Amino acid sequence: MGSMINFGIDLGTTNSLLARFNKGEVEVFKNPNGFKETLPSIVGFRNDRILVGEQARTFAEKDPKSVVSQFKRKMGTTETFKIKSTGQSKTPIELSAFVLKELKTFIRTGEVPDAVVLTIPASFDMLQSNATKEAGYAAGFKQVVLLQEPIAASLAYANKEKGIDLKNSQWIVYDLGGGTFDVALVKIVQGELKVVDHEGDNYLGGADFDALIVEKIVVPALTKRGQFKDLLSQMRSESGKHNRLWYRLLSLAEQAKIELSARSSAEIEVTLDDDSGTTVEAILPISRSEFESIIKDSIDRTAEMLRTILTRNSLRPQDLKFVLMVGGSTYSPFVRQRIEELLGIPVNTGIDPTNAIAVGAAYFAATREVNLREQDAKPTASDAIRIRVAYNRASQEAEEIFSAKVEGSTEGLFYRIVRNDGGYDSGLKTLAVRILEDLPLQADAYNLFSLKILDRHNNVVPADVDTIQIAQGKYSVAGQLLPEDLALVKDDMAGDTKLEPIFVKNTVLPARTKKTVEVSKTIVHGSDDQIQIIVVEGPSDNHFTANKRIGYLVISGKGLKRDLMRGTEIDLTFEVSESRDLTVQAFVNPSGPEFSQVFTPTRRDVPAATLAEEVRMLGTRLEEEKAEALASERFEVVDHLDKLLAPLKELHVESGLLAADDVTDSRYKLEDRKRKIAQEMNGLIAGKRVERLRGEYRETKERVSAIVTESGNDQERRQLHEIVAREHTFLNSNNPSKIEAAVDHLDRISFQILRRTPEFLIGWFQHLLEKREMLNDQLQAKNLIDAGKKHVAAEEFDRLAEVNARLHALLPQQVKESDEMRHFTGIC
Amino acid sequence: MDMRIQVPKCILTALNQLYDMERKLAKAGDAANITRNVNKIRAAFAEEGVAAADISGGVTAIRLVYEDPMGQPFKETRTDLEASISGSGTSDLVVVEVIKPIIRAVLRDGAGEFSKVVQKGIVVVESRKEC
Repeated sequence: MGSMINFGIDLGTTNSLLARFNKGEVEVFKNPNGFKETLPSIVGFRNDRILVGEQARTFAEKDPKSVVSQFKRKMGTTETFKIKSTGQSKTPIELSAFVLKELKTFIRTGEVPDAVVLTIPASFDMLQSNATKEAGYAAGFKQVVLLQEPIAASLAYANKEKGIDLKNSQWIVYDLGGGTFDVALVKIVQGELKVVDHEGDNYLGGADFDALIVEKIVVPALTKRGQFKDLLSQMRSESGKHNRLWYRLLSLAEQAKIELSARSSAEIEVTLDDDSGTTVEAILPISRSEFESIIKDSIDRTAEMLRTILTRNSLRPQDLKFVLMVGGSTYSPFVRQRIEELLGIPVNTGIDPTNAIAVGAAYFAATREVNLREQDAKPTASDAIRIRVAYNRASQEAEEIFSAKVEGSTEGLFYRIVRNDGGYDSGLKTLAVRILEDLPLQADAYNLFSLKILDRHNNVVPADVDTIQIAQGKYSVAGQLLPEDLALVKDDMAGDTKLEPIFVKNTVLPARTKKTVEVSKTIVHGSDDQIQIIVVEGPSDNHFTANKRIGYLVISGKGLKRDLMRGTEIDLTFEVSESRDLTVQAFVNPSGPEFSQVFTPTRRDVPAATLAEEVRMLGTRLEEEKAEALASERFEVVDHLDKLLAPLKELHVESGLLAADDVTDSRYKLEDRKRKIAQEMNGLIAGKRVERLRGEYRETKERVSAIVTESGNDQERRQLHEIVAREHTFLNSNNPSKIEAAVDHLDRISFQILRRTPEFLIGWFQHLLEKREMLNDQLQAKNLIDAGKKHVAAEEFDRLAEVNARLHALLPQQVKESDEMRHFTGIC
Repeated sequence: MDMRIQVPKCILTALNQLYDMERKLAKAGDAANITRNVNKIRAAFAEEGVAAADISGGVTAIRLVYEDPMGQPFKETRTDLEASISGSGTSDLVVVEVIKPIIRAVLRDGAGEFSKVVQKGIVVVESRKEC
C-alpha cells in the first residue's frame, strides 16, 4: 500500500483552512502570521505585490479593483477579474490557486504535499468541480481529490463520535459561516455518504449580524443620547462625518456578538462628538434577547430553506437523526435553539464549527492513497540562485532600503520577505535581476527578516541568502554599552543574600527599569533599624561581596513617620545615564516617603558599618566553605581557603576600627581588599552550589517521577513532562536559582499528589493534634478535632482534608511560617 | 525561527483593559491616583513576565508589552495590525482609531532578546489627506 494523501483543505468562500491527518489525529495548521486557523479567501494586488488573506482583506472594500474576494462563486464560469493595478485579468482558478499556495505556508512541519483533498459546496456542478481541481494543480499539487463540504463535516463528526451508528439514517448539515449559508441533506446510500439535496444563500452570515447590531441597536441608542442628523448614513458613507465610527462599531459589535454566545449580556463602549460638538460617552448594554430579536428573521429564513428540503424529499422532522451545526455563526445559542424549536429536530453541536470541514477533509485524505499523475511527477527544480545583497546592518531610521542583485534564471520565480516578529510581510513579488525593498524596522530591536525565493507553486527554491539582519536604534555602535551586570542585593531564604539583575551586561545606555521588593523585617519608626538598597556591578551569579559596590541607599527607622511593616512593598526605580551615573529612587508604599540618591562612578559610597558587616559575613562564609571542603575531602581547596584567612582577619580588625565619619580613603582601600578576597573565594568554590543543586534536581526528579507514575493524574504527568523537557536549559545555565525553582516545582507536584493520600492526611492531622494548645479558637478546634477523628475512623479522607485545612488556619501566624530568615539588607 | 507562542486569552484581555484604562486616565484625568497602579501592573507584565505555553519548548517566562499604534503609518505590508479603512482614500494611510493595541511577547534566548506579535492591533486607518 502506498502512502496516504493526509492533507485536507477547506477552500471556502470567505475563509480557507488546511488540516493534516497524522497517526489517528487531525491537526489544523495555523497561520504563522497571527496564529489564526483561518485564512481569508481574498487576494490583493497592490504596488506590484501579491497579498493573500488578512493583508488583502483590509483593502477588499476600498480598492475592489485591485483586491478580489468571493471568487469561489465564479468558479467554473468564464468570468475574469480585471486587476486595475497590474492591468491583467485573473481567473477564479488563478485566484483560488493563490489561496491554496498561501495555505501551504501554514504547514509548520515543513512538508511539501503533492496530493490534497479539496472541499467543494454541495451545489457545485461538474464545471465548478473541475475548475476547483484545476486550481489545485495550479497551486502545485499533483493529485487533487474533491470532497463535498457536508460530507466532510459529517466525517468530522463520525470520527469524533466513534461509537455512533449512522447506518440507515439521514441528517442535515447546517452551515452558517461568516458570509454564506448552506444546508444539505446527507444520508448513507449503499454504505457511502451522499448529499441528497441542498439549498443555500450566498449573502447571509455572521458579518451581516455585526452590521445589524450597529444599525438596529447602537445607532438608535446613540441618537437618543446626542444630537445627530442621520447618523447611520453619516457612518456608512465614505465621505460621511462619522465614517470612522462605522468601522470601529463593526469591530466592537463583533466582539459583543462573540461574548453573547457565552453570556446573557455584553456592552459596547463608545465616545464621539455629536453634531453640536458635545461629547457623547455611552456604555450601551446589549442583551442576548435584543441580539436574538434582530437576527431572528435571518435565522427563520435559514429554517425555511431547511423546511424546503424536507418537503421536497417528503421527509418529516422525525425522519432525521439530527441537524449538524457547522460554521462560526452556529456558536450562537439562539441559532441552535431556534432551529430546534422551528423544526423539532435535535441539533448536534458535537464538532468545532469553524474547522469541521477541514478536519473532515483530512480524515477523508487519510483514506485515499497518493497516486500521482505521471506528467506532473517531474520536479520543478530550478537552477541555483545566487544573491548579492547590500543594506545597512545598523540603522537609526524607521525603514531601511534592502537591495540585492540576483544571478541565475529568475523566470517564473517570486520572492517574499517576512520579519520574524510577525510585523511585516512583503507579500509575493516577482523576482527580477534586482530586488529593492523598503524594510520597516521595529524600534530599538534587532530586526531579523527571512528572504525566500519561491517557484510558481510556492515551493522554496534554495538560494545562498536567506536572512537579513538589521539592528535598529539601541544596537547602533554609537550607543554606550554597560560593561558589567548591575544587580540588587536581596536577602534569600537560606540566610544569605542573592543578586537580582537590574541591568544585564551590554544593555544600551541610557537605561531605566523598575523593581518592586518586599520588606523582610519590620522597621520601627524612630529606631536604628534600616533597610539597605545595595547595587553592585559584576556578574549576577557571583556572591555580592565579590562584586563592586556602586550604589547604596539606606532607609532608616529614623526617617520614617510610622512603622514599616514586614511585607510592605517598596518600588525601586533604577536609572543609568549615558555617562553611567546610577540613580536609585525608592518609594515606600503606603506611608509614602520617597528616598532618592544619585551615584557616580567617581564617588563610591561605602558606609563604614556596612563594610564591617560585609567583612564579618565573608568570614562566616569562608569558615562554612572550609568545613564543607574538609567534609568532602577537597584538601586543595581547604589549603587555598586557609591562605585567605589571615588577610581576612586583618581586614576584620581594620574595618572594625574605621570610624563612621572617617574622611580618608581608607574605606575604599578596605573595600577593594574585601572584594579581592571574596573574588578569590568565589573562584575556589565556583560551581559548587550549582553542582550540588544539579544532583539535588536529579534525585528529586527520580523520586517525583516514581510518585507521579504511581499516583499522578494527567495534569501532574504533563507538568512533570514539561519540567523534564526543558531541563537542559536550566541545568546548563549555571544559574542556581533556576535549578532551585525547578526542584521546588517538582516538590510541589509531589506534595500535591501526596496530600491526597490517606497516610499523609492522617499524619498531618496527628501533627496538628500535637499543636492543639496553640490553636487560636479552642472551641472550634475541639469540634474540628472530634470531626477529624471520626473521619479517620470512617476513612472519609476528603473530609479529613477539609478539617486539616481549617485546623491549619487556626495556627498562629509565626508557627505557620517558622520564620528563620536572616536579615542583611532587609528586602527580599 | 518558527517559534509559536500562545498567551492565555485572559492575559491578553487584562492587557487590553489596562491599555483602555491608561487611555481613559490620560483623557479624563486621574483624581484618585490610579495611574500609579496601572503603571505597576503594566510594569509587572513587561518586566517580570508571565509563564506561558511555548510549543517549541525552552522558554519558561515571557514578558508582555503593548504598543499603541495611534498615529503610525499603515501599509499593506504591515502584519501587526488588522485595519479597517475609513474614508475613500487608500494611499498614505495612518492609524486614527485604536480598538486594541499591538501586544508583543519579549523573549530571551542564547542570541539575545527578540519579540513576537501575540495580538495584532485592531485599528481604523484613514488617508492622511482626509484626516
